[in-house]
Amino acid sequence: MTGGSVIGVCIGEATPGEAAFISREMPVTGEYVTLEFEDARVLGMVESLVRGSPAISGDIIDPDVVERILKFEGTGGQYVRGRVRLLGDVKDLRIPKVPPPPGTKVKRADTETLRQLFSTGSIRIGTLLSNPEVEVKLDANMMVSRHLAILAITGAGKSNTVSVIVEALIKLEGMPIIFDMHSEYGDAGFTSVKKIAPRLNPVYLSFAEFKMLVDVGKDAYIQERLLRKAFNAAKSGMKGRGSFIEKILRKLEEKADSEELKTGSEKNAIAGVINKVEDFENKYEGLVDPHAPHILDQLEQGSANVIDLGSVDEDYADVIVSHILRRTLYKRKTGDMPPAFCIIEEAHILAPAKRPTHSKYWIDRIAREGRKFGVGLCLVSQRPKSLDQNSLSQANNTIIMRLIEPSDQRHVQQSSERLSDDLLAQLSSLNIGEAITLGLMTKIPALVKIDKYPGKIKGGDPDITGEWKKRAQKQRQLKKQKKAEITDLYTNII
Amino acid sequence: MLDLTYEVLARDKSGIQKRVSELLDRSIVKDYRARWNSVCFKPSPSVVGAEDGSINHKRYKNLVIYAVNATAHVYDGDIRSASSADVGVLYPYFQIEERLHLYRAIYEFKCALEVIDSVDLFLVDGSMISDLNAFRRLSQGVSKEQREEVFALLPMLEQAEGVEIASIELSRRLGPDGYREKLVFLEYLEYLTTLEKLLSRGLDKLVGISKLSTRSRLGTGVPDLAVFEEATSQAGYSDPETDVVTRRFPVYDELFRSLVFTISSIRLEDGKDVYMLEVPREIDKSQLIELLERISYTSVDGYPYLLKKAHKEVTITNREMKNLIAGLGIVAKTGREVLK
Ligand SMILES: Nc1ncnc2c1ncn2[C@@H]1O[C@H](COP(=O)(O)OP(=O)(O)OP(=O)(O)O)[C@@H](O)[C@H]1O
Ligand SMILES: [Mg+2]
Repeated sequence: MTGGSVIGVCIGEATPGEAAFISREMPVTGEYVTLEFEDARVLGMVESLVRGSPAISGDIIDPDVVERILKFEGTGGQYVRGRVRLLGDVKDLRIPKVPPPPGTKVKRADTETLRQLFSTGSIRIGTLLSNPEVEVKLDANMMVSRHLAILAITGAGKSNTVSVIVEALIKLEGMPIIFDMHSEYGDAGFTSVKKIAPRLNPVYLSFAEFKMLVDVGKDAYIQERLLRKAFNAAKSGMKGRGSFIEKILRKLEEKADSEELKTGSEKNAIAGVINKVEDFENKYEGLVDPHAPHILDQLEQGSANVIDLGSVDEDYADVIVSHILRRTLYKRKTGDMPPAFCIIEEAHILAPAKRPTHSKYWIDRIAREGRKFGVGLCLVSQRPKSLDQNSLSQANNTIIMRLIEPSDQRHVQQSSERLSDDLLAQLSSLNIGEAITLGLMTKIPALVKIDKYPGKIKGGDPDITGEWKKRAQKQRQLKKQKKAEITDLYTNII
Repeated sequence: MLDLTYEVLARDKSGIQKRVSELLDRSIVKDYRARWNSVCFKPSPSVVGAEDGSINHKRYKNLVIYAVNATAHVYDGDIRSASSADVGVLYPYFQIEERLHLYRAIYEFKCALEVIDSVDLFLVDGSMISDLNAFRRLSQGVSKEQREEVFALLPMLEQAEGVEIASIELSRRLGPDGYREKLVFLEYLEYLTTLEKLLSRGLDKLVGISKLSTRSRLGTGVPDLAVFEEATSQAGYSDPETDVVTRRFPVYDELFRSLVFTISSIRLEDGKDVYMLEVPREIDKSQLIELLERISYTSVDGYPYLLKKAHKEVTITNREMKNLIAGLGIVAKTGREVLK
């Protein structure tokens, strides 16, 4: 076992975790190499590269001079310097106890070795960027139980990655639940999909959730007390006909007519609550449905469970997400449901760093307790620094794609101790669909070319110029038609 | 530096400024424009070689460690090279500065000899006239008998091959009487022997190029190079002059003194620096132009690229010297420790 071709040799000072090398060939960043020393064969990753020529130094100020020098030197005399992060012995991935000595040869890692490291999981997401022959397969157990964060700027390929993972989970007869903020996934073409309308049966809501939808403010104590009484009465099987909401309204009206209310402010309060409940009924007509089955009963194992939140407002989305998360955690505790993987798109909206939401509370709880009960979280976001740090740091797995803003990069680095400075520096130069995968779901960090999901995700880049053209054409046609009509009219008159 | 220096500067500032502006006054040098021949050189292909060398050293109380590098490049469509390097102990502790220069020169000439037969043109950094005039002191203090003893080794010097300094090995044959002086004389003879080989094999190929020639024949009080640098800006050359070496040499005296050198200040590209060119033969203006066009062929930014390349590669920095010493593992006193 000697591995692939020699691409360089170690120079300067090395540590057990890192070594510098020079090379005549051009390796690529993210490429895997092996170094043999002290009876060990250690895997490493090329993290940074510098290329130069002593003949064309940085102090030249005239481009013609460079042209002339190149004429004599050709491409000869160039050097490549780089740094290798040592990832561990190829056998057990243990970091060596001693640094590689200067002069240690840096060899390209062979395909077979790489396959043993990267292709043993059960969720294929793509291939190694540096070696398309090596599949990258994630460990599904680790991915679900230790949570996943997918972070990248908009358009870098987060939704595509989600789709690839979801499709693989379907094959594994898993239970992915997608909170689809932009209605992208329902018609994405998963082999099995269960579209779930975001309808809630108010009977199943907690008072806190209900209160939020009815929009009773934090400081409206009297309103809150009145609403709570009516809500509890309706819930505890209040006699009489009518739906849950009708029962609440009836209860409130009874109260308004009774003699109990003395002060004007109490009278105002009850009128206000009644108005709010009626507004709520109008606002969420069709969404809050007293005949809807429990939303969790609709979930299907072996399908992509897509909860379409594209047309609901943020408050409603917050309630529905927190509701489902809460119930999922509960049902897993009682063993009434298969392990689930909850994918939260736009996680920075549902679990923002700076303000509390219902969802944030439950996202955070699942992040902490989900592992024990088999509830996995997948947080998808283009603004990591606006995302709740607690939940993010509980995600032991990360797929990071192109990220440009330094503050976002630092934020990600803080929550993932495995992301070295050199890898961090790569984030802004990743192309669409290229990612760094970190965490327990892979044995070692990998630079991956994610597969292109074959179906069609709606969220993909829209064809703007095409749409302009179409609309312009339509307008021209309309004008023409009008003109024709007018001429028609005149000729008829004459 | 003493703080006093600032005081002196403050006191004499205006005087110094006045003197500087006097010296930089272009009107003095305007008259010399007439001696400049503006030409736009059309590069003409030829096989060009060039060499450079460098030496660095570290002094200890009783010994000197030196490192020397020399390299010669040839461009014939590709760049080919001949290089040599040496690290050694200079012994005995005598005439140090000059001998180190002499060592470097020997290495340079020997590298040049490796490639001179394969080129049309060979560029050396500096002036051959200065090379001939240099190191005179090294032949002093040797008696007639001692000289004879050294001359007996001359055939072996002449036959020595390779780029090493042959004198170091040959010095074992010298008797103890006046050993230091005899050794230094032997080294000097090796220098002249090598220079003679280079001159006779490269008489029609050698070209010296100096960046900082102090030659000053115009009588302006500043180097001629500086005069033309100030007075002109176009590519071209100054009216060529000739020169000879008049001193006597312990060996090859007739050859050296029969050489006629042609010297001219030159600028290869408009607006670039002026250099001093020197060839060990008599040439007229048209031959000079032809020569400059061939030099232009491998020049970048108005300077021969191979010379620049060689210089960049051989330079031994003080830091590198420190690394070399560290590699030797020597613990010795420089005598400067007390100053720290
Ligand atoms: N692995 C890939 N290979 C090829 N193309 C890809 C890949 N991943 C994404 N793309 C393309 O890039 C575009 C954007 O991808 P995607 O919608 O997944 O990005 P996103 O990060 O989810 O963006 P947003 O922040 O807007 O949700 C799409 O047109 C998609 O087809
Ligand atoms: Mg997306």
